[in-house]
Amino acid sequence: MRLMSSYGLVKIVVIGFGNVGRGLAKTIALKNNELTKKLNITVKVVGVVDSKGMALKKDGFTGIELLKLLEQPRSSVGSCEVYGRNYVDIEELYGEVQPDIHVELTPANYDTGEPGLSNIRRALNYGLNVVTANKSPLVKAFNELTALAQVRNVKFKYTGTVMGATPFLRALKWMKAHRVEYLRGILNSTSNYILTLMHEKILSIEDAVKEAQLIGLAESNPSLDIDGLDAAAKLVIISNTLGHSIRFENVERSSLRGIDLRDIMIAIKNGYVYKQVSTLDLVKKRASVNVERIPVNDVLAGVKGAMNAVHIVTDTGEYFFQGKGGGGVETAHTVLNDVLEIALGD
Amino acid sequence: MFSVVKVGGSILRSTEDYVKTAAELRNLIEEGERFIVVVSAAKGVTDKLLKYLNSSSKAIDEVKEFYVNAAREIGGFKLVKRVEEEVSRVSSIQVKYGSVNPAICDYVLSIGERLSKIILRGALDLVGVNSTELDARDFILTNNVHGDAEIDLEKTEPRVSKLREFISEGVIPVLEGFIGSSPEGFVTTLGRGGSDYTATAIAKILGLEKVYLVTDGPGVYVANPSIIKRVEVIPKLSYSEAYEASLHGVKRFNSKTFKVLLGSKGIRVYVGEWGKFSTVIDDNTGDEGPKIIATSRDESHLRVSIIGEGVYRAKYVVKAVSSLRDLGEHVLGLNVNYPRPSITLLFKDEEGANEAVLTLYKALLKGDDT
Repeated sequence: MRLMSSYGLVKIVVIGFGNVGRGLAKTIALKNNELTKKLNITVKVVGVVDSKGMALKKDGFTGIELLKLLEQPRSSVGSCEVYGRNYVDIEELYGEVQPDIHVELTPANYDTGEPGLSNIRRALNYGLNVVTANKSPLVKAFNELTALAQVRNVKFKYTGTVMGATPFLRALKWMKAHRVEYLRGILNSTSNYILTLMHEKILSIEDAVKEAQLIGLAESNPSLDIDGLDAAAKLVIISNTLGHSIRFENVERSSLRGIDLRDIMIAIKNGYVYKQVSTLDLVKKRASVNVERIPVNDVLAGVKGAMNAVHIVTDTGEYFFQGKGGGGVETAHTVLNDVLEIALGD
Repeated sequence: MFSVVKVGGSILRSTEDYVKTAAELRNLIEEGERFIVVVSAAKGVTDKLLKYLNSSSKAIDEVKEFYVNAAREIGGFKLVKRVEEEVSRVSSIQVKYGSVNPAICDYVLSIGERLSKIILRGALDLVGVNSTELDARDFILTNNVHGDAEIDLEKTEPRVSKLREFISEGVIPVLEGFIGSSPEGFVTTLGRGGSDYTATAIAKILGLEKVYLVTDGPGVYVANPSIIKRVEVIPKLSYSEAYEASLHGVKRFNSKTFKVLLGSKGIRVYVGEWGKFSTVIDDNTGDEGPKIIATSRDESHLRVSIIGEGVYRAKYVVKAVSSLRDLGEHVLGLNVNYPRPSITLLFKDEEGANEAVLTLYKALLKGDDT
């Protein structure tokens, strides 16, 4: 069953035009022809919103126009010629462009979940399908949002929130017959990259963070990553997806900040490495994100750089998932896969 | 059929040069050419970025000043903001070359080309050319040898093929030369002169017939013009001769520019300046014999190399050696690089090497045996 208003055409609005939003626009611009040929579906971006303005085009931006939107400085999409408006009014946007899917890519805010939480509520209440890679609305209101989507009979997909570029959540949801009992993994690319640098280049955490910032992996304030907040949010989403509600505040956390080069050297000498390990024990109902010293032959020790991995234990066997954790374009592909899945009615 | 036009840093020395370049590109379009533009960093910018990596914060300020001024004059506030955004990503972090992750060095070095692309795109808007800015990292996939990466042609092919769509829509794609993306997703650089390599690799992948390497001279000189006054330009070279020339430092070509073409058919590389591309490099090996006298140096030697198909044959070696009979005391040795199309003489001093260039030029290229 296809859900879209017009066969073969899916109209999306992109709310949030940071790394993932821009990556999505770029991916659609460069791959739309290929997708149309392969799937008989054309994704049309009919609106783009950033923190200060929006750009909308009822019949959808062409690939070239999307690439030209990328040439706008950050937070300046509203000043683009012809289609730009220097204010944000999402109701007005919906009214004018009539989208099929709201793609929520605003930044995470674990204190309030905003602006993503209100945006998603509004979209679902408006009767729109929603795809998001923003974790914080799910952390704040997973049950409310998924229930609202059900009531409104629309799709709500969030595969890009965990292991960004790797469809782990998709696989986990699919494993309906399995009973997942335990999960252990590396869920935050930035902290894993930083720890890899600390071990392989013998860099202090300050220098490793600087390098991660320079290549665009770490934010100017790296706290969400190195203090375990991002990984904790992912555990909350995984747990809720498996039907076990846990609260973000109840995820035990420790920070990378406590690790210095001396710790690293001693660990290496004794055949260990430090990793930020996320653990979810669904039997004991415990979740944690801790910096752990693990032996070099531990399967997670070999997960380096910006890679993520999860080892899950189920009632019928154990499985290991590994793949890229993030990156604007990579996560955008996961978001686009969610969009296409909705369009295909899967 | 379309082509690749690579705009070299040597012709991008000022804001006016960007506008002139955009106007020249518009002229090409008016003549019926359709092409992909590959752009280098402005003249001297890569050296400044290397200085920045060597802890000179002044160098990054100079880079910023150059491009911000160009952005202000060409595109106004928005372009300035974009330049400032790009520079701020590297200027906030003082890094030391050699002591950091090579990926970081490549990231810093890559901003020269990225900023240059932004300015050229602005200039193309100014002269009314419908163009679009593309990110080379999305198209050019390389191995992970930072600083001297090699393009993975097979993996790059499906991405670069998308450039055809832009051309067919009447839009000129503009992308940076010199940079690519490693399998891990980090920016890589292709080595000095890497923009030429980007251009020829794209042509090879897409099976294009023409590549223009636009520079500040009419073509490839047959000898170093600082040694031979009024030296001629070589009108024709084969891929293997051009590759050999690049290995001997001619025009500071990146050797991968021509290495990627070895064994190809039908791609003609035009080297020169706007309106005057006097050197053509193609798959036709042409006449045998000396074509270029190149000079280069390594840590311990000065090298004078004679380049041309078949120059390793005895008759050319004998002619070269006999012409240098009066310079014997300066010569350290001779390498016949068979089967490569070159022979190399090693000198202990610059005076002897320069004199040898003059002598070999007269004897081998001008036919003067005296």
